Amino acid sequence: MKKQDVILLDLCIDDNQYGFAASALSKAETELHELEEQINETLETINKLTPNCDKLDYILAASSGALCGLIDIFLVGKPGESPLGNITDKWFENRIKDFAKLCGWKGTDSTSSAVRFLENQFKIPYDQRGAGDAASEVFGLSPKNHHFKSLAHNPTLLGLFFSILDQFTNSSHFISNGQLISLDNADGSFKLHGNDIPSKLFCAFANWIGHLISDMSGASGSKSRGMGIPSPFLAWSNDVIAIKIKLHIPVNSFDKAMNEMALKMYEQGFDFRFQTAQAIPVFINEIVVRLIYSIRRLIKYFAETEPKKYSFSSMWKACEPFSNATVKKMLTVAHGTFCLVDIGDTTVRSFITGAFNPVEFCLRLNIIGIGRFGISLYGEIKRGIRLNETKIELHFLERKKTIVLDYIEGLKILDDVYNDRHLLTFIDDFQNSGLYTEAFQKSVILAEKRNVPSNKILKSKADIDKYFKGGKK
Amino acid sequence: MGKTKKRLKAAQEDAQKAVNKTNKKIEELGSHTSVLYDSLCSIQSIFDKIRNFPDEEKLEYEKIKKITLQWKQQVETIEKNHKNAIVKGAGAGIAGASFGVAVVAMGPTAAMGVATTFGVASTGTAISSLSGAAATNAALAWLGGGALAAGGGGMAAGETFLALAGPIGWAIAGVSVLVSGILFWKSKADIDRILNVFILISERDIKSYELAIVELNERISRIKDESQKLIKAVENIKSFGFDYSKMTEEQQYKLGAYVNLMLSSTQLLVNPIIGLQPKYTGEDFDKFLSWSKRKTDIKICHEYKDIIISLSNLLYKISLDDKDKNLLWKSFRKNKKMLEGFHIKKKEFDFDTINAVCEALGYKYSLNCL
Repeated sequence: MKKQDVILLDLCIDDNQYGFAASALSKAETELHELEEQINETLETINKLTPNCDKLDYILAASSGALCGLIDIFLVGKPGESPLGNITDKWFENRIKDFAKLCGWKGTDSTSSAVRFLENQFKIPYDQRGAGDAASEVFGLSPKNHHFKSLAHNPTLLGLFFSILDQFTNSSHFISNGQLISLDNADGSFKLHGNDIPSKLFCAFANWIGHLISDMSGASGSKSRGMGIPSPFLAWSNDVIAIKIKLHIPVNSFDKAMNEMALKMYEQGFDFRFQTAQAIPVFINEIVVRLIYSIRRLIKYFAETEPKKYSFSSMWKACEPFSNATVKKMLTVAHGTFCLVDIGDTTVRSFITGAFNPVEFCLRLNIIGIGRFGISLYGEIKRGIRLNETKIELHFLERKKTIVLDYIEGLKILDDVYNDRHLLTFIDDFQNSGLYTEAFQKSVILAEKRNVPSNKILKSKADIDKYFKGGKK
Repeated sequence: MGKTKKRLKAAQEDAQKAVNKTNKKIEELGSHTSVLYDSLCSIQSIFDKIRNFPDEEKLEYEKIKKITLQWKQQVETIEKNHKNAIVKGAGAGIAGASFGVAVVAMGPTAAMGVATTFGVASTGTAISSLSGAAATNAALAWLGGGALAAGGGGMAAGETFLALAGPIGWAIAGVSVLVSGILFWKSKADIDRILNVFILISERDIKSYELAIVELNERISRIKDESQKLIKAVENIKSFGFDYSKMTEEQQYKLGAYVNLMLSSTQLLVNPIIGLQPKYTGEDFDKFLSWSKRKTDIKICHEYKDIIISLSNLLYKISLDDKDKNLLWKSFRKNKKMLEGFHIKKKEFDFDTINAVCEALGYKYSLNCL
């Protein structure tokens, strides 16, 4: 009985010490698990990249865009006829006074006093205004255009470069009629502070910034609104000409025409302050859409989540209006609608006088809105391309999974076919026990497992006798 | 080089490595099979002595030895045919030594390994999906495929397409030939899409080789073990004497168990390696033909049987959407080498053929699920 127990145990235990198939199977299952994780991650990326807007989202976004478009038409308009522009003008004046006070100005009300104070504090050699001086005759400089024509008055990187250059060399650079004009020894009394190059560089940079702020609402002598700092979008027309001349590339008529139109726009009051006024409806549009998104998701969150499961992190995940494709899609719709309304109005108004008036068109066109819409569109295209690539990747991974599953199926077959170690022990069983019929049966099972044709397997004592005695028992 | 093309190149390099590893294992298998073969012959001769048949009955019982003999004969056939192929290849200025495939410079042991791997002496039971002659062809194609991977050799590309009923060689030889045509296409997206299909084919084949290597390892370990068991059994049987009727019952059972062991061990020589078996066989195709819900026209099935079987092997477990199918069809139509291999003209290669392949495969998968 004891011996029989030993044999039964032997039959039951999978003593497959070869185990190549079993070990490969375990590795393949790990590979499958990793592949499934990769598929889940890819699905997550696809979900993140796929906008999940419903009809109401689109309607609300478009409404916000249209409303802000109306704000742009009636409250921003063009320089000189802009209620919002008046507010931004005043705001800039107040900020200049604040800045002057911060720099030690003791005055109270007069903006021109504050500006004069700042001009003295941040003295630069390139402030030729063209009011009655030689420059007005030779370069067409005037108090109305000198902030635009003077490169160092431009709030761009090139403006900073020319400001530092001018302060180091006591010179002045202008763009006029498509030419780069340099005035040497521009201001006999100018001296750049600082003892060494780094300190001089710092002073030059501070002078540039300080002087730009002082000129934000026009120069100290301005009697009306004053000519502020040109918008960076317009100043680029100067930069193109300056760079081309420095690189000895001929300046073409298109560059000159663009520069001339930018100058005309500037002369009509399209400066940094007006650009800021243009940004207001765009900013409102942005905030409203993000708020709409958040509020709708917040309501949904509270409606669909059990009170027990409320948490700030899950709420933030459901409502945050920053890094998800849905809010970005809504913003694209909103800014697109805004641009449509704005361009529609601008086009109509530029034809009011009869022929198309490009300056009127550009003065009313909300460049900030167009830029914001451009950014949204770029984002949509980028997301679209990534989404497409990710879908291809997912399709590839799913097909790869099919292959791995087929491989695992194959390994399972091998694991079963080669799970015969316990059967091969029958020789030892013959020697170690008297249970030779049981041991013999193992050899029968082994032969069956190996696909030996059934009629050839010796399955019983009779078969053995027949095989060895040719049927003569 | 594009990102996807680089991935395909890497996958093909991996496939080549897997083929080389498989070849080494096949050669190792061959080196052990000769010992097993000798052990089987020894134990068979002992059994013959014990049985001591009358002459008229002996002839009948000689048939039992048929399988081992057939295996030996097929080994010799493979060796001979392969030597002829190498000589032809060398005549055409192709250096066999540069193939980098161990089996190409084949000796008798490798021939034994190859014969076992492809089940050339198989009895046609469930495990083997090829008949003896087809298996010998597959074994030769395997050797030819290895050569083809390095630019030509044992077999002409076209012949290989038809001869390779299984996955063997597709990853390297077939894919190289098929990919060469598509790189001149205009759309990068289309090229990437079709390259992805070939990357998957390569990866599936790598898995087949890995499966083959696992089984070869299992097989080698058993052959080594059972060769020793058989040698010991011969010694053990000799101690019983040669008169069956004078043996004890226990000794007689032992003899019976040893006969079963001999038969089981013989299967180690003749059962083919599953990983290198064709994924889609003529038998699968016949089942497809007799399927009542089949949409593919019977005329197409009969006319393009070889192509359908071959492409079914190529596309086994590679799921394709309509765009993939269309692009593959275009790439096949443009591939002169492949069309020559299939003995088919461009105009004859209809989109219905691809649909037939997909339907045939779909039917096979559905049968596997049952």
